[in-house]
Amino acid sequence: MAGPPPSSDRAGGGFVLPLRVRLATVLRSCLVQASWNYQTLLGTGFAFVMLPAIRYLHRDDPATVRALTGRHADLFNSHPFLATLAAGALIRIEAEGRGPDIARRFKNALRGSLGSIGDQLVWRTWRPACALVGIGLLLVGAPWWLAIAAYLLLFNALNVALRWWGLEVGLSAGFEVGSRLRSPWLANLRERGADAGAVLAGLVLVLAIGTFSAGVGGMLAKLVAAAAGVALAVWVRPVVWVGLVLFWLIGIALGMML
Amino acid sequence: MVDPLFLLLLAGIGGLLALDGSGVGQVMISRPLVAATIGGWLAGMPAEGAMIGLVLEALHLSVLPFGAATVPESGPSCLIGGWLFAVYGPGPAALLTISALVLAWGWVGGESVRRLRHLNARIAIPEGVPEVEPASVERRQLAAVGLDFLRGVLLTAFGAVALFHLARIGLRVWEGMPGLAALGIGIGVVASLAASTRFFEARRIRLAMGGAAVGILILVLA
Repeated sequence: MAGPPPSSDRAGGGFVLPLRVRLATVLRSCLVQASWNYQTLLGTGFAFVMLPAIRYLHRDDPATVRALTGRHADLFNSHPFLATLAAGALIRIEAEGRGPDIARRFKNALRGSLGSIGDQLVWRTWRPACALVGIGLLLVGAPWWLAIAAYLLLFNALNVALRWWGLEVGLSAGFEVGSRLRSPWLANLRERGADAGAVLAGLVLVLAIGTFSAGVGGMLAKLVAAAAGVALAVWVRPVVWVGLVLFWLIGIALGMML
Repeated sequence: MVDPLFLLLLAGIGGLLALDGSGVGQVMISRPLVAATIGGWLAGMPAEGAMIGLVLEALHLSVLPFGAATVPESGPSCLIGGWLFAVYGPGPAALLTISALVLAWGWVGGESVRRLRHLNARIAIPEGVPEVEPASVERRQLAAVGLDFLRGVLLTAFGAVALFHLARIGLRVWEGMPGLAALGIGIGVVASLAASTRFFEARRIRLAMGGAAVGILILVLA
């Protein structure tokens, strides 16, 4: 397998690709989940993300390009925002010519961590916190466009930063990327995001009780609605979702009978 | 009757929101707050769209798309919800009726995503192919994007027509019980928001209480 062509730039132990190749990799990572399936998971999407770098590094060797494309279309999974981290590391590993078995084992080892770190940071912490900012702004009477803008800007600041940071870290750390994944800023971001989210959750809950109980007559009914809501929170998905649909249907049935 | 040209526009935007849900970008324009506001804005009433978007966003806070889990899809259904609330709202009866319908249509959307993922297995490169043409990967990836868009378009078009009529039927009954409708939707929203404290772990309960104290202060001062 051919190594990187002489024109690829190595500086200070790091591995640098031209800006247009890095930009193409990050942009393609936005489509990484498009062909997600129950057999190879992200596989084809991951090869799609790797292609600009594979083509650049092996532009004089079409057979290697085809072999690397096939190898990276195999089963793989990751949080979508951190797929660039795996791509960057594998671009470097392949350029160093470590061989297919090492690359395969590396992908298997990385898969679980990228999924769980991304899920905890993005889906479990950052997105609910950003959503609560949007909801909170609407509840205090902010204009709708401000609430939407705040939600989208806050969320996508992390979206873009993670994709770009992931590629840069992957390229610079290569095989050692695991230690960079344990870097304190990721853990700090999750912890501080969760702190802010907890404050927002308390604030928004009280504002929502105040706003929605305005349509419910009598102090007792307001208190019952608030207490029932808080009590139901433990089983929120099954009870509230199914419950709300059933409540609506039963209301129609009763309304038609009476 | 839904204007066919408007339906076409709504379905096209629904297709884009379906893409954002998982396949392309995930910039969160498919989230209930944004999608419903777009739906209301298409009907000339973005603030109404944002109002039901707030309720739907609260109800969707507990939906976490971990791994291969099948979860309700928010984009197309909430887009329809925002438009319907601009048409039938405001008021608690419309809020409850449309929210219930949107939740139900979200399950249909989630199921369609699951089926699409099975279909994607036929489009994707199979495991263990030693050599693959790069152009083939790009064609397959773009085909998957096209298929997902088409799914979103159809889901939005059928959903808009079905929910438009179902909402009218439901509203006829629920408009006579506005207090009960407000109680139902209020409990749902409060439960969903109270559950969001779980996302930030029990050890942060003091921070949540601090936020609640600020909320009480705002309500008292308002």
